Amino acid sequence: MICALSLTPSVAVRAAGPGDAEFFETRIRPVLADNCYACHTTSKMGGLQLTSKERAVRGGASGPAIRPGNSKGSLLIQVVAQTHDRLKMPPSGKLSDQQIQDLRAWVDAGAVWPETDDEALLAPDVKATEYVISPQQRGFWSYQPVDRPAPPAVRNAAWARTGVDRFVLARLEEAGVEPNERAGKRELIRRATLDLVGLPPTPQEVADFLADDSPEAFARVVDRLLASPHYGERWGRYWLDLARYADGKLGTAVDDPYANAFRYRDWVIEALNDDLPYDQFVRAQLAADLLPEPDRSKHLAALGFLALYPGGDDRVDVTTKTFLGLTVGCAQCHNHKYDPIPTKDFYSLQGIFSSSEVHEYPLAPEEEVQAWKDAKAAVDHQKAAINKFIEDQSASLRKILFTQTAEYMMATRSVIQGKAEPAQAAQAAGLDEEILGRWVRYLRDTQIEHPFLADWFAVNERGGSEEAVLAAAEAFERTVLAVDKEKEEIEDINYVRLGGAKGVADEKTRQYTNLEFLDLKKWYLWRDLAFNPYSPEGFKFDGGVFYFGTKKGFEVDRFLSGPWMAHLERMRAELKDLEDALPPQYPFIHGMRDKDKPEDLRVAIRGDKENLGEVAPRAFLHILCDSQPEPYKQGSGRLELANSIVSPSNPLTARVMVNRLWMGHFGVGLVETPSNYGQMGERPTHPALLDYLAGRFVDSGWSMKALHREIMLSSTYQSSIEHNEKSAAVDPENKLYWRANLVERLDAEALRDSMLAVAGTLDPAVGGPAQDFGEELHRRAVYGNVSRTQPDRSMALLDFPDPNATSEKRARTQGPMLRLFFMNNEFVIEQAQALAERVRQEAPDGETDRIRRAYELLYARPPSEAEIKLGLEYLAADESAWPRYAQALLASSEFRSVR
Amino acid sequence: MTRRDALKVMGAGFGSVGLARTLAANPMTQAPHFAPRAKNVIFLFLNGGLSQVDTFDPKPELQKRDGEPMPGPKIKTDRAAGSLMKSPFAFRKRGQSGIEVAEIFDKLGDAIDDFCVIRSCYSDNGNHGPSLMLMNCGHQLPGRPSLGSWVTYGLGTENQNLPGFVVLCPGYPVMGPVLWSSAFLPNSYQGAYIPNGESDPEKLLQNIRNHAMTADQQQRQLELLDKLDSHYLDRLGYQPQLEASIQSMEVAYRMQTEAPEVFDIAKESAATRERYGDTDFGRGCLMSLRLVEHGVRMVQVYYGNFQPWDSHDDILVHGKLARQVDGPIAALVADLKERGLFDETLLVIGSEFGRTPMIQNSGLEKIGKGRDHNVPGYTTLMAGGGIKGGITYGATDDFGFKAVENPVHPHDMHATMLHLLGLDHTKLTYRYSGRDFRLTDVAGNVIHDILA
Repeated sequence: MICALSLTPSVAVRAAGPGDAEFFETRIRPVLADNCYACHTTSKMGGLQLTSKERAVRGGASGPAIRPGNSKGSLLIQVVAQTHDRLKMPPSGKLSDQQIQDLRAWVDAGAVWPETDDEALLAPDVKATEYVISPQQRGFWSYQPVDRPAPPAVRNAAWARTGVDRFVLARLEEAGVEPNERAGKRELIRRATLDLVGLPPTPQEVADFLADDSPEAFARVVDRLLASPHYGERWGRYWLDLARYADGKLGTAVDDPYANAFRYRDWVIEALNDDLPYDQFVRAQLAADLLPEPDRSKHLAALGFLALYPGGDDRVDVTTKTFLGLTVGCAQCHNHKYDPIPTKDFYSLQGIFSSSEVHEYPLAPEEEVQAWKDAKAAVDHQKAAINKFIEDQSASLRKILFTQTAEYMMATRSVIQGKAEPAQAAQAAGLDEEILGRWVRYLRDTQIEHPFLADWFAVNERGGSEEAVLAAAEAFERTVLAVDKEKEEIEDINYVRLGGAKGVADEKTRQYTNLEFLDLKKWYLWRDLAFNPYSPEGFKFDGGVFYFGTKKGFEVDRFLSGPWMAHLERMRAELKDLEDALPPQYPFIHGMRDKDKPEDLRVAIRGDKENLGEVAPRAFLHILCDSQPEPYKQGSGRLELANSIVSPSNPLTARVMVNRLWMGHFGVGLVETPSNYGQMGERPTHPALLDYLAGRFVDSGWSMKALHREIMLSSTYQSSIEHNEKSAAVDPENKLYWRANLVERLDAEALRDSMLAVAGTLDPAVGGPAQDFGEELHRRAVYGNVSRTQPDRSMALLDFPDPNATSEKRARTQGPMLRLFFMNNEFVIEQAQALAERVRQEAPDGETDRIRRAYELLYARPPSEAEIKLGLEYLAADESAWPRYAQALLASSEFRSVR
Repeated sequence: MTRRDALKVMGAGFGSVGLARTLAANPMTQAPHFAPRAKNVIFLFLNGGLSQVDTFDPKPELQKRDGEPMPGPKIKTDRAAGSLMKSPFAFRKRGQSGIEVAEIFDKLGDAIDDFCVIRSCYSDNGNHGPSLMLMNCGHQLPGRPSLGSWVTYGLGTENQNLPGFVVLCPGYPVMGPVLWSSAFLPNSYQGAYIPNGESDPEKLLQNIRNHAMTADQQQRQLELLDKLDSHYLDRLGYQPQLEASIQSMEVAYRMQTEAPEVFDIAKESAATRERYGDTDFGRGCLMSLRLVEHGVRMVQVYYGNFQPWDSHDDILVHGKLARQVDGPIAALVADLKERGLFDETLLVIGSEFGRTPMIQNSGLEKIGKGRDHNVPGYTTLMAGGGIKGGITYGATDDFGFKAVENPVHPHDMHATMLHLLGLDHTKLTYRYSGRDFRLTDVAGNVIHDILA
């Protein structure tokens, strides 16, 4: 009786039948509370709430959870018993058999569920089953249509040359801040040239600009620069930051470059140089394979945007951040915490990418591709045949050697005891000297991890008689032969179990068949004697005293003779012929294509791929559709997605891109979070200007070059960096653009390329395969090999972004590491020497002339008298000081900054 | 060379501008959120996956049921798992605490009273890459700052002439530099990667020595450079930001002499070097000692390139690996103590996940005796500043498969490490792309039970 009052479940089950309320309270509710409530109350994962009988019967996306009286037909029971083919609950691990049995009994007894306060678990706002976007959310600034505001009226009409200026000036006038005058012509051309092509202007270009007095002079400079092939190299690289471009794979032991990755990089550069309209630029990168000809062939390489990142798990994240400024990746495990993006949206987009696959598009005629594949197959086939032959011969050799185990041991003993030299001992016993060497290392130096040699060592240690020692060796030999026989038998069993040769060859069958194994200790014995020796770093010797085979240094050749050796040699000669005949692999494009059967994904509840909820039809984002998103119907839906992204009704795409270009010119964005236009992103500092530019961008036919021009011809862009106390007092951070921003340090590529340019060592060739960084790379940095695993250390030091994640902004750190780079780096020293030599040749009229030339080359200005004097004094002290002087000029903050 | 000497060497030309600017090579020391228990971190990473059941988590039941299938419902592992396989290594109670340690960690066993053995670690992903990312950056995909970056961001560094966060590996572990990336934190918090396959410090350190000129010539050149910059600043007029960001040449100049000395293990006695052994890992441990001694905030030593502890084919390889790290780890503990650093240094030894108690089913052709990746349960060791030594924390099930008592996620590990350094993991945030980011995302609990 005392027990009956106890609350221990084992007793309660006797006290209450499954149809009693007490049974529910003691045996059912606690199980639900511990295992189900976390997701099936307020969170209502899969639409299911287990808070009352009524709700449980109503169920969720997969139907009713319980059918009172029918445990077999109850989804809840199937799911917890894990007999359901798709749903298995709870995610933390299967319930105990007792708990499952209780649940079953409870359902069969009618699922008694007393009315209780479980409803209190539900927050009032989650009762609706559809994800609802509130009017406030819809009203958020970035989702509003781009209106095309007219530039406002301003007082200082002389300063405001362009629409951009009127938006900027209106705000300045409102704040009572006077904008700066135009920068000097030398500063302007240096600023424009570094901005657009990432190189300083040549002295000739500066002189031409100074000599051009027409009002169109600067526009002509801008047009010339936009027409330069170097424009695409500079601005294409920024795009590659967003596209997390690299030339190789991630997660490999050594860098494993893709020989053809550069085709995407070159496509980006070319697209920018051709001023490919941005809508087409977007469409190509997401769906070039689905475009009609001739665009399809022309833009196929653009698919590198999706294809080059290994695994491709981040495609939704990168695509939405890059094109839309939305962080849809945050909605993978739960509805977006801040923005109106349900988890379903994530899987709608993910379904598009999972219905697509990486595909190599050959850039050679089909016959050439086939010829290469055939030739490659022939090489592989021949290699396999050789390996098979070697393995067969090695196996029969091993069987022979096993029977000589005792002889080898005795010979080894005499060597270890110093009674005989290895050569002598081998010869005396008719053994192989090299194998004997392995035995010596094995018995003398190796820590032996099986017990079968214990007797042998014991006999030796106690100085046993020759006969006793021999007996121990022979006993060991018998063990070896027995273990080898046992292993053969096990392999026979496994062979049958795997279903013969076919199963053995199949990785998956091998992994999922339960196989027999040798006992561990016996395995170590066999491994020591015959296994392929593997030597993890730092180990001298690891098994395989009798091993011969395909491993380098363990060739079976010297044991072969007569027809065997002749056969092997003939096969090798044939292989060599085949290899010589194998042409280099045909070039191809890393692209994408649709899978044969595109498929919608189910929402992975809390990101768990084992726990799937409702189907998420492939479609665009809810927030960017007026009503329910229309499911995509063509193949994977990639082209439809691209069209949705560049649709005139989508306000984000143009806003995001004009801001990226603005940020490239001013160092700050109109939106300071260029890849996040959501609730947690920054609001635009000049919303009307942003929309004005977005409208102009679309109206110009999405021309990026027109946008650069529009921005650069403004007074806003052309102002000086001059400090002004009065303006700074009102707007110290220059949020209103009363002056230009000083660029304190060029980014990695511009800095490196500028050094080459002024030293006269730049190779201006455009496009082509990647080359390793290092002193030898004299091409522009955009052509350097970008490794996901082994980044170039100098480029990393200069804040080249990590290519494993999309990157929206460059860091520009200064600091002593940068100083050390300029002080000591070989590349810098070499460019300084080249610069000194260049100046010597180009300015033959003495030191002053040379100093002037260097200043024109590096800083686009003549030196002051004081600077000339400083240089002359430095150079006078030492004949060979020019390279060191040139290095100081390169290391100066003026060279790496832009005003 | 003291700082005053350096100033003298650099001469007056430097003083005029140089002194006016900030001297910081690295962000200066910053105040922690509360009183720290440790100042520095040494993280020894046994990359590839340290088997818990063969090292620090003995399982008698596993020994008993060798060769039997794992009881219970079918469990999820990366590949099909075979039967249970007992450990080939013997365990023995060690130290005052009597914590059982496998024979292959004999010397570490002697020092076990200094360690807290966390036996209930678990992770989220069975592949090396994502789990390495989680353990190092708190997130499975690239794009988040590493632990070391957060630590130096939070605390700055003690020695302005050395990087605050140093990573040692002869080549690269799987994933490579994303494991010590500063991601969106400023680049100065990125781990300074030093390929310690070299022992010549001039080859270890980037741009540390000039081979094109003498020291006198360089000194003159730097004086010239300082004047060039002065002229430029005059020309620009008022540009306080640039002025502040043009860092002093003095620091860089001194780094050239100081940094190579600190990295030079030849400065240690032959006897000391012998105790660490002439392996990459041994040299790495000794270097980490010297680095924290000289005020480096965090040092991470990867055992080796790629993933040497990934014993799929043969768990006996663990024996060889362990015997190679055992001595250096014990030597490091002893030397940290002798040099008075043990109480202010947090020592962590671990890997991205553990290994299955079951044999890995590797097939007919290659009958091996290895173990697969084990994510639900593995072991990490902690010692030093603020850690309760000589205890175990948490437990796995009878077979060492799954953490069943006090499970510890990498987020919890990170929260605890930051806590010991005086940082509240919920307050150590950085605003990027419109959001406050944390190392521990929205999770992580400090494990108070292991704190001294």
